Amino acid sequence: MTPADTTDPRPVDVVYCGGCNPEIDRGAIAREIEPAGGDKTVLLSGCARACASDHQLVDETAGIIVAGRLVDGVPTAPADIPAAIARRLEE
Amino acid sequence: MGLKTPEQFLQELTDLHLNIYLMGQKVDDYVNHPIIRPSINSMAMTYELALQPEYADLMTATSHITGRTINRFTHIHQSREDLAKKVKMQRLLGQKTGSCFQRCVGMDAINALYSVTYETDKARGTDYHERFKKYLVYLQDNDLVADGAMTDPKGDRSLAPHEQADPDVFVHVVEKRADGIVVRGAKAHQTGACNSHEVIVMPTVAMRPEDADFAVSFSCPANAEGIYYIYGRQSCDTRKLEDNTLDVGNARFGGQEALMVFDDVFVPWENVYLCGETEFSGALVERFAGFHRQSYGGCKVGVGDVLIGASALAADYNGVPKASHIKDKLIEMTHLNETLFSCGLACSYEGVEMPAGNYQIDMLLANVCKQNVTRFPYEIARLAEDIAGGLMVTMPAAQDLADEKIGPIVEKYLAGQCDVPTIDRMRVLRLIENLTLGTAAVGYRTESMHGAGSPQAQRIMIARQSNMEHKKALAKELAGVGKPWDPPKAAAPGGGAGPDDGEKAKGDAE
Ligand SMILES: Cc1cc2nc3c(=O)[nH]c(=O)nc-3n(C[C@H](O)[C@H](O)[C@H](O)COP(=O)(O)OP(=O)(O)OC[C@H]3O[C@@H](n4cnc5c(N)ncnc54)[C@H](O)[C@@H]3O)c2cc1C
Repeated sequence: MTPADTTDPRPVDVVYCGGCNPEIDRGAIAREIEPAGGDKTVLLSGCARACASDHQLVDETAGIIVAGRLVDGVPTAPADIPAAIARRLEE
Repeated sequence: MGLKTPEQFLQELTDLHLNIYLMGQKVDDYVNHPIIRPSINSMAMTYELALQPEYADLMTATSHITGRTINRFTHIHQSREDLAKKVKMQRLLGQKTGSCFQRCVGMDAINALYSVTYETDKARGTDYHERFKKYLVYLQDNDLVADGAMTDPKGDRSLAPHEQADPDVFVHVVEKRADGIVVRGAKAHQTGACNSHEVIVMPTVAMRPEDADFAVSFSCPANAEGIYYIYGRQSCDTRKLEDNTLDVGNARFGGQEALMVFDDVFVPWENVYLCGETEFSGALVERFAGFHRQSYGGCKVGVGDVLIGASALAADYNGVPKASHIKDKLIEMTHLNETLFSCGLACSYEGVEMPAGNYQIDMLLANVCKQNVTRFPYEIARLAEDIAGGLMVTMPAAQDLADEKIGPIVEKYLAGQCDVPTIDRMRVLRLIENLTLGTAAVGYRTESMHGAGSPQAQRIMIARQSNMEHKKALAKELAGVGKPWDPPKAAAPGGGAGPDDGEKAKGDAE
C-alpha cells in the first residue's frame, strides 16, 4: 500500500472491509468521493457480503452502505457508485 | 397457541380431509395409510423435537414480530446465527428420520417472500408485506406446516409461460374479483404437500410482462376447495403394504411428494403476495432457491450421517472393520458429508441483513453448496454399496426368514460376524438399500440432483457471481500483463548460444 492510500484527505469517514474478493475498486471509489463535509460514514465493502457494515445492506443510522454493486441495497453500476454516494451524503 | 404436540398435528391433519389420490384411488384415511404414514411420522418429528429441552435451541426461535417462542420452521431468520441454526436443525432431523422430513420448503418460502414482498411494496406501492406478516403470525402462533409450492409442470421447457399450448402447465390467475383471485394450474413434485395445513405458491421462473397472469404468489389452506393431490410413487413403495418391518429398511420414517392440482381455487386478496409484478418473479425464485440450496447442506448431511453409520455397521457385521480400504472409504464418506455441512454453514455465516430486516444466505456459497449436493450423496451412496456387499440387493424376503423350513437356512447362510444375529445384519443392509435405491433414495439421490433446481441452475448462478473480472485482474497483475516488457539481454559475443540454447543454459544455471 502506498502512503497515499493510507491518508484520507476527505472529511467523510470511510470504513473498509478486508478486501478478499472485491467486485469494485474500493480505493478508487473512496478517492472519488467528493468532500461533503457531513458526519456520515461510508461503509465500503467490496462485495455483497458487506463485511464493512457487519453484513448489513441498509442501515439508516450507520451511514451509507456500499456492498459491491449495491449502494444502500440498490443495485448500482460500479462507475455510478461515487455519484450515488455523493447524493446520499447530500441528503 | 404455542408449540404443538405431534398428537395435535396428527389430529389436525386428519381433520383437514385433504383430497388425496394414490394409485388411482381416493384415500380418505390417509393418516393411517401404510404408504403415507411414514412421511407423516417424519413431519411429526419436527413437532416432537421442538418440545424436548435438549433440542430447543435448534428447534425453536423467538418470533421477531410477537416475541413468542415458535417452531424454527416458522421463523424469519434474524441473524447469521439463525441461518446456521437452521442448517444444524436440518442435520438433526435428517439424523432422526433418515429421510426427508419435508418442512423446509415452507420455511424457505416464507423467508424468500418476507424480503420480496417488502421490496415489491417499496417499488410498486402495494401492501403485500403487511399482508404477509399477518399471515406469518398466523403460521407462527398456530405452529402450522406450509408447503412451499414453486415448481410448475412447465410443459415445453423452451417456451415462456404465456407461450405454452396449455397455459395450465403454469399456475395462473384466471379471474380477478373484488374480493380475490381465482387460480388454475398445478405444482409438481410437492414435498410434504399431503402433510401440510397450508400451501404457499410462488412462480417458478423469472418472467416478462407478457407473463403477468403467471406472476402470482399466494397462500391458501391445503384443503381449499378445488385443490387435490396425486401422491407420487417411490421406488419399492409397495413393500410398505406388506406386513413386515424388515424389508422396508426404515419402517418408521419416509418422505413424500405429490402433484398438486388447483382446479379454479379462490384466494382472497389478503392472502395474495404477488399478482402481475413480473419483475419480482425472478427475485422470488432466486431467493427461495437460495434458501433451499442452503437447506440441503443440513438435511442431506443428516441422512448422510445415517448412511455412513449403516455402512460402518455393515463392515462390522461383515467382519472387515479393520480393513484399511474400508476405513479409508468411511473417511472419504465423512469427508464428503462434512464438506456439504461446511458449505451449508459457510453460506449462513456469510449471510446478509436484507432491507426488510431479515437475514439471507450468501447466494454464491449457497449455490456452491447445492452443486456439491448434486454430486456427493451419489458418491457416498456408491461407497456405501461397495462396503455393504451385493447382499443388500439379493437378499431373500422377510417372509423367507420367517418361514419354518426356509428360515433356518436363510439364517445360516446370511450370517456374518458370529456375534451378530443374522436379522440385525439384514436390517442394516435393508436400511442401506432403502437409502440408496429404495423409498428414501428419492430424497437422498434424485432430490439432491433436482430439488431446489437442477445442477445447471446453480451453474448459472455461480457464473453470474463468480467475480471473474477480479480474478482476471489478479492474474494480469502477477503475470505483468500490459506492462512494458524488458527483454533479456543478448548473449555475450562469442558465446555462440542461439535463443533456444540460451533458454536451456538459463534453466540449467538455475
Ligand atoms: C424429490 C423432489 C422433491 C421436490 N420438492 C419440491 C417442492 O417441495 N417444491 C417445489 O416447488 N419443487 C420441488 N421439487 C422440484 C424441483 O425444484 C425440480 O425438480 C427442479 O427445479 C427441476 O425441474 P424439473 O424436475 O421439471 O426438471 P426439468 O426442468 O425438466 O429439467 C430436466 C433437465 O432439463 C434441463 N432444462 C430444463 N429447462 C431447460 C431450458 N429451458 N434450457 C436448457 N435446459 C433445460 C435441466 O437443466 C435438467 O438438466 C422437487 C423435486 C424432487 C426431485
